Amino acid sequence: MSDILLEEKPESEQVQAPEYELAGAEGAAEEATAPAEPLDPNALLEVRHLKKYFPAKKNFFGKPLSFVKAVDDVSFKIAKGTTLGIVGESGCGKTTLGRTILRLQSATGGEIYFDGKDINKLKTAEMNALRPQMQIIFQDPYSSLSPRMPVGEIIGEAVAQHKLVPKAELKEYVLEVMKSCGLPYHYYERYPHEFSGGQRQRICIATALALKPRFVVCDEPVSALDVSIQAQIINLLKDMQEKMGLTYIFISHDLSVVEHISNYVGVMYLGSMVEYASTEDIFDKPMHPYTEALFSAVPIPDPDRHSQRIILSGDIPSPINAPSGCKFHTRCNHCMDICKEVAPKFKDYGNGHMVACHLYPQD
Amino acid sequence: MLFKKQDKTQSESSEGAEVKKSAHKGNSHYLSAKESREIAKSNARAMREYEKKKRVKHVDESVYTCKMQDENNIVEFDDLHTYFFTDAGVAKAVDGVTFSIPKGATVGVVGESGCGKSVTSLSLMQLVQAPQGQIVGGSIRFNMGDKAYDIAKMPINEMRKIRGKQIAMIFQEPMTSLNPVFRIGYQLDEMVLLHTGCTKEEAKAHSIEMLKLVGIAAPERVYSCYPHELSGGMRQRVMIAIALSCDPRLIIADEPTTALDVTIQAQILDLLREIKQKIDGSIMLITHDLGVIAEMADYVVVMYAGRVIETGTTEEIFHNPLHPYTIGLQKSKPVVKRKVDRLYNIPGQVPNPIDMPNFCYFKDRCDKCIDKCNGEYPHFVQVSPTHRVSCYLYEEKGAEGGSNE
Amino acid sequence: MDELNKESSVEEEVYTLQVDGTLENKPDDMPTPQPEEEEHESIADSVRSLTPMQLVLKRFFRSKLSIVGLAMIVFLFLFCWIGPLFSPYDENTMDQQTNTVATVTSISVTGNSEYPYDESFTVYKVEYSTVQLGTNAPPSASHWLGTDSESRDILTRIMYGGRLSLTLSLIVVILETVLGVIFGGIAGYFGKWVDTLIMRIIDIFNCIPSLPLLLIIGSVLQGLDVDPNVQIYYMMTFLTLLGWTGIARIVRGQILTLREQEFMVSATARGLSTPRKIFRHLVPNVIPQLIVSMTLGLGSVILMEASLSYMGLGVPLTSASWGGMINAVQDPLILINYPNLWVPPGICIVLAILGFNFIGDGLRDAFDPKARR
Repeated sequence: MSDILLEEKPESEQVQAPEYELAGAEGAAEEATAPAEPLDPNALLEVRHLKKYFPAKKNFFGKPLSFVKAVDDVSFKIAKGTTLGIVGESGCGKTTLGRTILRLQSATGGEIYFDGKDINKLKTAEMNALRPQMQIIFQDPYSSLSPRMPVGEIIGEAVAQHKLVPKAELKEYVLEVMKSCGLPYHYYERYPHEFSGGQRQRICIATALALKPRFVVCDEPVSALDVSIQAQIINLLKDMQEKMGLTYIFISHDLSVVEHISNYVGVMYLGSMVEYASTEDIFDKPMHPYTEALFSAVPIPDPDRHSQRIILSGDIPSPINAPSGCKFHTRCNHCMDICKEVAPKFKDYGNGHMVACHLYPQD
Repeated sequence: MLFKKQDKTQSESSEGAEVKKSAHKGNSHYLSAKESREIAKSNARAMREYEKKKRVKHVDESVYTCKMQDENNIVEFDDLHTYFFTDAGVAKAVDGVTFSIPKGATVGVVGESGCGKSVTSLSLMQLVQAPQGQIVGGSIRFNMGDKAYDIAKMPINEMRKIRGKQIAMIFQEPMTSLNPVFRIGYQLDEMVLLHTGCTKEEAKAHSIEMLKLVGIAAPERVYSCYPHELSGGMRQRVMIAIALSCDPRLIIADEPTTALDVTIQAQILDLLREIKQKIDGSIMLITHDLGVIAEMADYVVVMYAGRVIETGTTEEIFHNPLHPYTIGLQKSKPVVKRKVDRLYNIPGQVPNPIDMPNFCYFKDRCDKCIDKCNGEYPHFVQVSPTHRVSCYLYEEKGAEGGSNE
Repeated sequence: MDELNKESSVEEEVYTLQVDGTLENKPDDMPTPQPEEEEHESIADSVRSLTPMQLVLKRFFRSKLSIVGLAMIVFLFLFCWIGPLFSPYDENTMDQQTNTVATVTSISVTGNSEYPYDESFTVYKVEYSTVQLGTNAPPSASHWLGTDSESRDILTRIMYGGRLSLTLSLIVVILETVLGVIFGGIAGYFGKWVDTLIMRIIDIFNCIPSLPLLLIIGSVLQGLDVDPNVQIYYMMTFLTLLGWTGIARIVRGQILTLREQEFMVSATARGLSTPRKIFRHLVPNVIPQLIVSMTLGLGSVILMEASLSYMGLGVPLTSASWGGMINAVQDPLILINYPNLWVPPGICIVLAILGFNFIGDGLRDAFDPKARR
């Protein structure tokens, strides 16, 4: 269920992996100067050619021989106060993307501009000072809370560390955050193990939002929850977005949830983004064959409405030896000869609808 | 009778808890040492009794032979009670569940985690984790064709002949439900050899045929693979092949697609539908995904906190849901291409089935609550021949049909 | 079943989220913590569970074996610390009670060529000797377990020996744990070359055969004329130096798995400082495993001390220790004729080790939420 690439160690900030020098990885060696193209002033976050490779096989001296291309040349931008949904199946690199954007894993290449600053080039101390503004909510509410710490301390510790509120007002502030996330006051001194999944996820949200962030990566925040609780959490996330003017990246494999919460949707397949458009566009007229198949596969809770299924044959190829050309050609129903050799360009086909597919004119 | 006795001790201890609660205001969400000792004592007593009953050897066949209410049903759950004796008290995981699975039909059981849907299926296989979990009352009638057995009373050696052969199970996690140290072929053959007594060659031929049946392209190659060499979808296909290998009359699919990706889920659901046609068996499909139910099931059973709250055909449940929980469940799930500004949500949490009071369990989350809801737990109301609901809102309309539980 | 396990936690108060988007909380008064708030009882709320400590204790006491183990250890501690207060003897009191025994030997004399007596008569030879009644005495009313070859009360010596054994093992285990946590923690948290270095050092330590090394050290210490009363502390120091590796491995492994957990990623994402991450997030989660391995370690240190003393390398002969007392069996006469000298301390060692192991096993099951049986 979880992203298989997650099994790679998430590097903590203090122990960063040595950067592997990659042939052809442009951008990594660029100087800390102004970006080549001017940044979109409306965008809070702009990601350009982001790459994250994990060494899959190493030789005797620890030099990597092959890579898992978890995130392979992904570019997008998010305007302030909007939500970008990232969909894709397990192993497509969506979780890695979320973590790389927050520099929880160091990027192999590419730039991430948050508020005009390339966070890949920030020093550790600068990054730590920036961290409260960029938060993450995880999928599994059971493992994302420190088990031996009372709820109040979990929520308050980072607030205290970053001195966001005066020490004397800390407790009051935490209680206020808890209240706005729908947590009763008396949870303050209780421990995470006493709560159900939905309550824990509320605690996780309170923990992230207590830092007054501007940007939150929601990594499958409702996948582990019951249906009736999912709706509560989605509504809470939406309310908080309105109240605090948050910008979200909402990662999920559940298309209906993504459609509900997102303004824009990006579809990922084996580390690459194959389609990116506004929610209405992409759900009304999906252009990429993978997007089409993915959307048609979602079961509809209506016994009379059986959608025309496009059943994809076969399984997702291993990301270690991703297929050449278009990565999707092994399962595609419209596969042409060119697809097997040349990777299609990620191009705008009007109205910001970006697709990477040879079915559409490449020039 | 036994079960009544247990009930009494339970209510006693909960009374004791009530007194304690007012005494210790500060920490009232924790059990006091005395209460937990009482719980442990009554648990130990109950567990000992049930285990003793199970250990009786040579149970006469007449004890567990029974008669089906309707010969067209493959399984009839009748007022089934399965309890777990936990440290926090007796968890009534399944508390008076009554429904039946007709021959050749797919029955979907929906509910949230902890509602008892998995425990119901495990009770049917007698796989409830003992000694904490015990079937304490009710019966599960299983139609063997010429006769019917009550699984709740069956001794374990007799049960082994039914497991796998008559009732097969597909689990949620294809990654862990295959033994990693044996080849796929061995695990398939094992099942056939155990239940049919054919030769090894015949078993192999049969296994490869089964792999073909579940749509595996290279069955010979997969036959000699180890589980880790296969992807999740392939493993789930193998699990289905194993389940099918003895021509079971009933397949229990416990969240068969939850752990799979959407595109793979579509493949597996297609396969399950196809196979049901081929083998002419019944499927008990347990899931929390209403979409899957809508596509697969003929009948739907909605469970909440260990009880069935609504049953009916799929059309009835989806087009005319009656219980406020069923309605809320359907409204709270966003649907692709059905734009809503704000999702409906059922407030509150899924209850933990310990120390449940005797009124509608959904009362505190319900927005259609009426005065009557404070009374005892509502009986079933028969709305149509196939549609039953347990809610006071519909009591007058079908009162005459709702007398039998 | 799985579902139930997850659900064993408490359900909580119900808030209502109204459709117009305002969050309404039932305790709608001052924003002060009111843990007593229990006004509105919902169904989900009526279920209560146990405090974390209660949960552990409950699972611990569910196992009969851990109760037996606890009883054994409590008994030993009471016996060793309270016992001597009731004993009339001290550790080194020698029982000087003597008795004069007359041995009568009869010699019959008959005539021979030199002394031509006609009749034979008997000569009685009376010898008076002093016998140490208190040496190797059998169990009696005054010495319940008898005395040893130095006329000391065995029961009392077992008590004092127990004090020494238990204290020493506690000290050694605590020191081992401190070392283990520091090195294991550093290796686990910082990873990379630090980890490799520390783990290789641990490998080297594990290659050293401890008993021969201790034998050599013992002889060296004796050769250097170290005060026999201090010698045992040196030995224990070396025991500590050899023993911390196991705990370091446990801590490192634990921290490696914890580091991958999402709450640690979350801690990084929130920009928490390294010391906070280590001491507030990682260490408290290692403590259960530490307690278990410490309890199990106590038993093995007692055994080690006993073997050292048995070989005469540990506690000086003047002060009692269980191992030293068993040393007496080296005399075959004692082995055969005076089991009261060596069986009781042996039983004590067995009791202590079994007791600690039972408690350790019980705690391991109690702390591990997955091991629900």
